[in-house]
Amino acid sequence: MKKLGVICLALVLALGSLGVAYAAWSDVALVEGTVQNGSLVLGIADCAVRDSNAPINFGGDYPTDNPDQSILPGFAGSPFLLDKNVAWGDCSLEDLDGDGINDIAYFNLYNTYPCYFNAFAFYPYNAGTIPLRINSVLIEWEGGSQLLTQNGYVGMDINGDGYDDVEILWGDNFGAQLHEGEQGEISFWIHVLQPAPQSSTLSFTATMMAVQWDEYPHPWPTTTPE
Amino acid sequence: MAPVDSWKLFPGGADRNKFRRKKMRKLGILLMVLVLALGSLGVGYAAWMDFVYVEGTVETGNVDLVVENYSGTWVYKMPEHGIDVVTGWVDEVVAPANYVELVASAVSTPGAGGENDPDVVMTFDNLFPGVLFCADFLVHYIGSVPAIVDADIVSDDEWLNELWDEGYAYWEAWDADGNKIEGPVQLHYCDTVTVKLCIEIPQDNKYMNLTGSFNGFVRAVNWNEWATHPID
Repeated sequence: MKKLGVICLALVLALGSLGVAYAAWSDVALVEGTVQNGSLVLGIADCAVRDSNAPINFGGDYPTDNPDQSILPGFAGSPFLLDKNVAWGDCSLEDLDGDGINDIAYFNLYNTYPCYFNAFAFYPYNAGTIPLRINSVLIEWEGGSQLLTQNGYVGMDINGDGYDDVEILWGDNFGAQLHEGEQGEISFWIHVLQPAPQSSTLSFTATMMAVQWDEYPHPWPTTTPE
Repeated sequence: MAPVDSWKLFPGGADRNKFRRKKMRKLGILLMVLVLALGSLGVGYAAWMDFVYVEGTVETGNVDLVVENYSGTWVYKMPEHGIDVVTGWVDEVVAPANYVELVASAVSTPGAGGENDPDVVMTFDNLFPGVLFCADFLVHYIGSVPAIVDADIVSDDEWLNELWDEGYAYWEAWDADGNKIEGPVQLHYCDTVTVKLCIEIPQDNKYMNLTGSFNGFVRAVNWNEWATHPID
């Protein structure tokens, strides 16, 4: 066999040197491929506040229509009604990158006082094409942060005096799967605590992460992508 | 017929599983090298993910008392055997003409914090029987959260406590409409309360040349917490 191979090789080289083409009959089938990736996009469809009723006569006698609510520290028990409408909240959405999909929900509470209770909700939806799952939420405030991968309590010492000023109870739907266009509801309770400073603005952020359904659960990235 | 042991067809008669293991090991090493190489280039390796953001702010209201006016009682010795008792707000009161001397007084003045400071200094000076000495101060509520306001005065001096117990010393509070306030009162933004402390010295020599002190407070608690925050 080795000899035969050497003869064939010599023949090919000889023909080649004479400029004679040597090829088998052949045909070619071309393959064109396209790969269209899906998109994993989480948007916010709407938001809501339980107590959005501003007092009718701010600074007056705060009539008892739509009274505020309170709850015991640590969210023990159920919220209960007070007898005045003093504080209130609102929420709004914004499309940060101009793609027509709201990316951020702003929640604000006004004229609050120790014991004031309110609840927020927002409605994330799958604005992409890949099924996704709600993975985790990173809650951050000045001087602290807490990562939640399931329902959880967060006490926030926002003014750094060693005592929690506001507490949050983050609600359900971790691990919830959303298909294209589907939406879910995320809610959290918020309660102003006794050490909260007067006449202050206390701020916090919550970043909610979703991953494609087959990657859940996924660790929080070391750097948050844009 | 016994099955053909096709594994024996591999060069050198090696076992196929052994061959596959070798191959896989090489492939694993290659993958690991690739991952490490990517990592060293700063290339991320992560699942697709997306984020939404929530920003929350909590603006707190306040409970805030300020004292805006002060009053007192001034007792002037007038010519001959006359006496003139003048009462009024400190910045409005005018001493009588022709008075001989200021004999006694009861005056409220701002504390160390100055005007609008919630601290009040009340000085009752050179009191004597037969005159009701009163000093007032006007509390203005400027908090945005409704509050319940209460007050208390305590003294470590026995003779002052005697006067208190026997009704010679007392304090009162009045709302802006002139209604006397009994007990704690709820205040809303801009409400005012006049707090008055009065002392009358009884006709008894044992009260001469005594000095005493007292401490008091006017406290505002947001209305929904008052019941659970008794005075200590």
